[in-house]
Amino acid sequence: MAAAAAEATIDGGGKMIILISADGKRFEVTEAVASQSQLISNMIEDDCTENGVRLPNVDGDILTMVVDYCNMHAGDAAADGDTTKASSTEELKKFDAELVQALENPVLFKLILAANFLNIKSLLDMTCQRVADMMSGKTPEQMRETFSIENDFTPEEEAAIRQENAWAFDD
Amino acid sequence: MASSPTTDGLTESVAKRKGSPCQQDDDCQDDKRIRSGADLPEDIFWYIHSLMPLRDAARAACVSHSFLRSWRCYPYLMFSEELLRLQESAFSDDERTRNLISKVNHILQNHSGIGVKKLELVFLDSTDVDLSYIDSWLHKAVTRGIEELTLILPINSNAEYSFPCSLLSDGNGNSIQYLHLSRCAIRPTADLGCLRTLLHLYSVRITGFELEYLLSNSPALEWLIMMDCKEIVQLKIPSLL
Repeated sequence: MAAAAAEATIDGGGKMIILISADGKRFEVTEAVASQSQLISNMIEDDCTENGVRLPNVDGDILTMVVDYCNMHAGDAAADGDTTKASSTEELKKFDAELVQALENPVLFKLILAANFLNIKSLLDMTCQRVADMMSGKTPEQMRETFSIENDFTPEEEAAIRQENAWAFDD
Repeated sequence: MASSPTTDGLTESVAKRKGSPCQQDDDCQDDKRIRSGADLPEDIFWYIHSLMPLRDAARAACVSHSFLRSWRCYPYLMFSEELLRLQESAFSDDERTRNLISKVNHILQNHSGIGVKKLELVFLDSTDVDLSYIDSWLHKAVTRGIEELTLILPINSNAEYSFPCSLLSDGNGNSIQYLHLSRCAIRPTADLGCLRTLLHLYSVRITGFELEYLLSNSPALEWLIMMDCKEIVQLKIPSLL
């Protein structure tokens, strides 16, 4: 079904593209949806999406989220002002917030890596901002614990930088 | 006035930071990763760090060597009483001003000066600010890649400070898009660079001729806001704008 659909078109006239995840799951999306990824947009320009686009470092569950995101956001990239097709700004905000807030850190990080690899600027910004928001308001110890970051300072080095930035701790 | 850091995409941002001498200085390796259970490349963690507000980013500098290196190039330096949480203290105006100056000085002395995209020095409610500090801070932080610069001097400063235009020549001005000056003088002589987003002048000493010169170098400028610039008698807006 997927191979045949690779050449198919939909009502809007957009060509369909097949995305294939690392674990072999296939996703059928329009060119407009897929080209929010700068990587795929370049591949479309170079005419090398005929046999589907293999994404060996993106798992199916992550690609499901990426495709949902791109489907939801296809309107704002393609048709500025076309309110019939584009989701409303409020709908999009709600969708985006729910997408990132529900994620456990390992999944959120995989989504960041996928957005970086596929070069989807808005998804990358949103997911990185989520991590930045989660780090904000925390102590260095809490930041390390939340994101499993190793403390590679010696006690003396850590004391020195904490003293240098003491102003940021006086809440 | 204080706007949030621009989130202009990692690919672009990381490319910019990678291009800065800052990262090259720091023993840069391709696809370097922070030692952590979270398997993200260092450049992504650095981008995330840049999205954190100043105080939180300063605390994050205490997390690991990598975050400390990132802090030395933290790109959004926005200093005001509000950001440094000085406004609610029981100190006098003079004490608050001294405290703010001391903190800004401390932070900028420890910053590499490289990688700054946005610098805001807002002394709106301050009393007396030693102008030699302003000069040294601008010289430290206005470097290649600077995009937005805001300098708001105290009400009683009488526009005595002359903005050092030479800072924005020699390539530093190539990236500048936004310049907001208040209560100082600006005498553009050298090539100041091409402002694109905004030029905001409030109580600034500049003549009409000097402003015309500035505008003629910025044909793509989107906003020009001027208030209380008393030296301007008449102004011809270049036809390109």
